[in-house]
Amino acid sequence: MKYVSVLSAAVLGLSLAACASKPAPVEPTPAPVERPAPQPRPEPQGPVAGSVQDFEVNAGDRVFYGYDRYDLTGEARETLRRQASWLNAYPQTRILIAGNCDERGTREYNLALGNRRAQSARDFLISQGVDPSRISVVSYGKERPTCTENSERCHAVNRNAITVITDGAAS
Amino acid sequence: MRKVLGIVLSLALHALVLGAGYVYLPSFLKDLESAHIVPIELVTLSSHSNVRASAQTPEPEPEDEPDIDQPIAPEPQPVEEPQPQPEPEPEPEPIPLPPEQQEERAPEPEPEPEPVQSEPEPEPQPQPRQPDPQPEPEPERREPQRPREPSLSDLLNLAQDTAQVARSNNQGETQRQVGAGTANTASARDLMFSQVRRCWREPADMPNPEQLGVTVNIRLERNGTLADAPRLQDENRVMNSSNRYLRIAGERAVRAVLDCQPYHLPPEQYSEWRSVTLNFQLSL
Amino acid sequence: MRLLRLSLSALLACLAFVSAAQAQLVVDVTEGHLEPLPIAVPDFVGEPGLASERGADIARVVAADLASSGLFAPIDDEAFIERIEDINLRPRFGDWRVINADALVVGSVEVMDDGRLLVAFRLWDTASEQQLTGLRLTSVPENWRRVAHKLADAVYERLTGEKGYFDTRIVYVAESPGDNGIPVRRLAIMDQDGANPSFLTSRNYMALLPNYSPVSQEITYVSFRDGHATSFLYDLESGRQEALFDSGPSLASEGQSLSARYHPQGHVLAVSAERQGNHDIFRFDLRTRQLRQLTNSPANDVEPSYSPDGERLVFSSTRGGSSQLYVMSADGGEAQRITFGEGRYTTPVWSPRGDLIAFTKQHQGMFSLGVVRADGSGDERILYEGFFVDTPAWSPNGRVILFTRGERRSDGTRYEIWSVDLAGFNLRRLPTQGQASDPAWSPLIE
Repeated sequence: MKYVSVLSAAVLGLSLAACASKPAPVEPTPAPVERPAPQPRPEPQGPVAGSVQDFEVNAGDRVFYGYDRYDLTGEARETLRRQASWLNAYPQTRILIAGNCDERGTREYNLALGNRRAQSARDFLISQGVDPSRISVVSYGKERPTCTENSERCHAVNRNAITVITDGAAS
Repeated sequence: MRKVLGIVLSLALHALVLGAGYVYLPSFLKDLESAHIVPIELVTLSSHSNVRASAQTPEPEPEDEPDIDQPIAPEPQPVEEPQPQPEPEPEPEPIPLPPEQQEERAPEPEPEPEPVQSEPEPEPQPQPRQPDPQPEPEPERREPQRPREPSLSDLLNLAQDTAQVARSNNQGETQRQVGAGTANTASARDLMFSQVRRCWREPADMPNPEQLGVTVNIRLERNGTLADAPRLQDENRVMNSSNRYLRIAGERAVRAVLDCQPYHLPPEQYSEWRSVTLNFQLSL
Repeated sequence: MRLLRLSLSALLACLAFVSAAQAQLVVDVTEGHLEPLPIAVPDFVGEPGLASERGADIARVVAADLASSGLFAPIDDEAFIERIEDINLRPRFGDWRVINADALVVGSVEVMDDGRLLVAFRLWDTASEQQLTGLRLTSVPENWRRVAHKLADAVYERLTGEKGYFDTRIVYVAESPGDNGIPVRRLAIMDQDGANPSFLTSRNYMALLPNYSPVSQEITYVSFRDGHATSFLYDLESGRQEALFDSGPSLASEGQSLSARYHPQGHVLAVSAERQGNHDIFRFDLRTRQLRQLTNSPANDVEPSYSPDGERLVFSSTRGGSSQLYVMSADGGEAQRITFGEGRYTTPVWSPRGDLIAFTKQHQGMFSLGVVRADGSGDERILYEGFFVDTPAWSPNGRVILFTRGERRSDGTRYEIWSVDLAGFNLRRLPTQGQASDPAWSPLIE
């Protein structure tokens, strides 16, 4: 199995753009900008600090997993660290982590696998100091794909945990 | 006429009592979410009293088997040579539907469909079968291709051109090379086997087929037709077995020997195959 | 040369004659064939009008049912010689044998005074010229399809020894395009042959993974109605739905509960539910509402399915690394692994006959549908292999498996329901409108 397990953010951005349908409400996502210091700081024409858009752009709202895996890659940890500092900076916010799978698996198996993915992201955020009570998790299995094409690139995009700010974000 | 009325009346009664409401679901996918009741079609199929066959011509051996459990007891085949088909078939015999006198008893809540009783056998009708015009080709198999050696008759057909031995009443199925064996029975046996197996639906589709062996005894005329009805050995045990598959296996074996006649066997060995015991036993 | 043969043959014949006064030829018939049984189903007779139209319809559906099993080969009407005009006359069997019909189904339809149909039929064996079975049924005219299915079941049972499965229904997930690209997945129900489809659930929530009660018109399914994937009960007769654990003890967290499968007696469910991120198998008693945990492993234990005697459960688990199948007592306890192949084994479903377990296997980018002995002995048997397979469902008699089959398209996978028989033959698509998946087979309708 020669699945690519880690894709660069740029490739992801491209592939997302290439996707035929972009059903997720959070789309389209601009390619996350690499920032060494994710300290949110109001920028002249950037997203409003503490907003959902700020979170998506400056922390990154999703992490990706290998085929049939739910352990975190180095890149996923990076993203989650940024998410954690963002969340620690805006402690009034609450989040829902949704685990997703590609369609190359049976339905029930994937519902359980998606749950593991969401849980592993949650556990990492907690280890970074985020209060567990602020975090809910859900698994959509393969039922809410970001991308519906039949390609490995698309499948890789769909193996994710997406963090959604459900409450307390600035508008 | 009155009887018919009676039936109708009773049916109406049944219908009333059963009083089921049916919703007809048209054949396009429609929404039922508002009511979110998908009406289950209640049992609508009430059954009615048996159609009893009244034997109009007294039978020597009255068939009293009540229902489908009866074994197949094929009527005696004509012993004579097959006669030329009597022009249009003999008028089919009416199976009198019996008076529907039945007690049409009070509606039961959910009657099981009842079997229509089997008719008594009418007297034997000569039903000569036409010999097959030509040897049937090995039918294509749908089932897993179990490797299968060429049948003896295939081999024989191949050998035909070199061993043209004229025969009066066969189509080359039985043409053999002389010297095929010292044991003539072996040849007759092989010929019999190669013919019967084409007609036998083997029990491989049933559970534990190795336990479904049955034996059929037949007597043959010189022309290869059955001299009388095939006899299933241990008929009672087979046909009344608690293993319903055994019964089916028995029926299939009997059907096989009926279907396959006339048999093409070497006439000069008639004494050998005048009576044949066929052991239907799947080898796994 | 030829002369020699002739004389030899004559000699042998003489010898045989002398020695075989009482000889009895014994033939061991060790193999036959298993081709579909040729059967003739002429239009059922009836007065011109509704009766004769329905007569033709019923014969057509009976023939289609039988053909769909792969065990019967209905003969084209064009070949028929005798025209059946009265089913109470003995057919001219010679006419049917000559077209190679082994069996003959004749029937009649009458419209009774109250408008209902009276349908009668007889099944004849053309070789023995015996009636094998016969039935009379009545029904409202709209229900003629069920009449036909019942007759087909009777023919099937009489000729194969197995219960038929034509008078059954299938609940499945019907998929249609939705807003913002997420497909709408709703439960639908149809007759076993695809007729009479209708929706069971609304477009407002996704419904998945239905399972049919073996004893009643009730199903379980999974829905995201409450956010999480959660098990629901749905009484098809009353239309009543409820979350499985609503009125019972709640699971510790607000976790998932997945596909709930019925105990053969219908009063108990086995279901995989999640606590703190981990899925285990639970037993849920529908009468007492008691929930009992049966497995306790740190891996995901999902997809439980009862044996037909209710004594054991099979489930899939990642406890050994990749997902494999395990069997344990229905009360829990130690589980025995029954699959050992490479790849991912999921969706185990115990056969109604008890000896086999159907599964989905995923290996090297391909999916297959297979069966393995319940005790894990012997080799697994692959019945179908393709781009995608999921959710096998047994026919009530254990001879046929329905499954979700995905076909690769450039713009995504297209899902349909297919059936295959236990020998891996007779692969057929179920006629559904649009995409369909997750079949659940009803028991025989009473």
